[in-house]
Amino acid sequence: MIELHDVVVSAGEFRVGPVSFTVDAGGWTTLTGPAGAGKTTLLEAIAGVRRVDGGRLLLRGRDLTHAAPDERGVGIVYQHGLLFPHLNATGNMTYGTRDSASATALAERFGAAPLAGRSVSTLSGGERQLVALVRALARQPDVLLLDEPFGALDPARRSATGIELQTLQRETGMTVLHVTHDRAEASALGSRHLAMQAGVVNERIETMRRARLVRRAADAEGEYLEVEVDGGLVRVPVQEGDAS
Amino acid sequence: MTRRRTHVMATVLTIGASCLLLALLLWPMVALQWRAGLTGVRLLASDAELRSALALTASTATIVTLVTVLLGTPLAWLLARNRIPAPALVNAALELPLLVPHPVVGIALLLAFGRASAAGQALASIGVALTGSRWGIAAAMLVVSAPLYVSAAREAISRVDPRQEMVARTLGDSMSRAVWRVTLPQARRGLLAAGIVMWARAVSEFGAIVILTYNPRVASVLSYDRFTTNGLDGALPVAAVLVLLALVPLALLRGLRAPSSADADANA
Repeated sequence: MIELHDVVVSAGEFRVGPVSFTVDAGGWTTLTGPAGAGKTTLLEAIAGVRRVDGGRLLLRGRDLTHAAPDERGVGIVYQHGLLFPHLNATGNMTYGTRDSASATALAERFGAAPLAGRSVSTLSGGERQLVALVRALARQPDVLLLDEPFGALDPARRSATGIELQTLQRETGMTVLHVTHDRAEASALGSRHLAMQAGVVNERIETMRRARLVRRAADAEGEYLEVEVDGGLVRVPVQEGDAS
Repeated sequence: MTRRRTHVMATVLTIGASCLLLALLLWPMVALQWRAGLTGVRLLASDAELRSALALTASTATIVTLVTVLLGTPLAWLLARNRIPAPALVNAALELPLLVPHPVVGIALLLAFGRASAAGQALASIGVALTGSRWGIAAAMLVVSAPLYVSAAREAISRVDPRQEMVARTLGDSMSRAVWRVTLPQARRGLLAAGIVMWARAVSEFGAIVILTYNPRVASVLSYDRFTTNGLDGALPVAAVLVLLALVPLALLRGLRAPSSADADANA
């Protein structure tokens, strides 16, 4: 499980948080939100790529707020791959593992095997994403952070890669936090959906975004909204700013 | 019409100023080669003192450069990644030797490590004397040229995306291993260029060396010695050889600065 408690992260002048949310262990959680909301910065904070300025970050129940990236067991796949340009595709895919056979198997599974030996500069955006995905998976992380990892793939490859990764996630019980702008992709792959808006991450935002208001009512616990989401009725507590 | 005349005048002034500066830079070197280049090359075969001075200069500069690469690259990384306290102070410390007259650097070294100083006495107790020895040449070369290496190395490392180091760390590398496997290979051309610039600067040093060590003579001190002993005609062949040898690092730098596929990869 990934737990963020009032986490604050800075990226130069840009500041995200305090943010609190949890990601279920062994599940696939999607995180959506407008560009510039700080989704990538949050992923980098979870991976340890960025320093956490405040709050607490727990992975598998352990406080790893200030742990080094190599102590977290977290893999990250960037939108643009962020491949190592001085290595070829094979060098990138096997970078984090001594078990080149498993990296090769993953490359075959995700259709990256034909890219072996190619110079990074000759790879298309989608090919870079595949290599970056294999590079992260080859280390067999139990937490995988995906930042728009399929955005440069053609629709057919995008769908196939998502399904294959979902299969792998179910096989291994890996925890996935997936940042995407594509709502269809989020619905297809994720079992839980979070949204980020103005530095706040919660399920309510995402639920309300996809919801149709049925009625506003009250019970012993207070006022609530009854909304229809994905064909089911959900009760959401009323918050300040909700339309009456 | 007025605008056109202004444009023509600006063009003439720009070209004229550029040509004047280039002529001021190049003409002395061309004149030197014209007058004594061939004699200098012949002198290489017959003048044992010149060959010895060149060998001393080149070998000491090479050792000093290698030592600086070992000591200065970690410092350059710390500066490039803003991981050093008081970076302004450190940068000032690096720039100071470049800004003061080099004989002053020699005098400061003499004060700090000469026989009269505590450090000098400690060094003497282990057989290291800074004056009149190769140690003095090395110390002078290091102080005046190492800042050039660190500054250029810092720039080269800065051009490598720091997130790549962090991605390498998510793939299991410690920080030092990530720097070794990811940053340094990508910065290698810049680091090599920094080393060449430093080496060339060390080879050409005179002011700081002459304060500490007149003998054994490095090439720059030998050319000065020939000038004071034999006059201009005596100094010219040695000076011409030194200019010709300076073309070697210049050519290496030109080669390194040519775009390569690795750069294209890095920028992709």
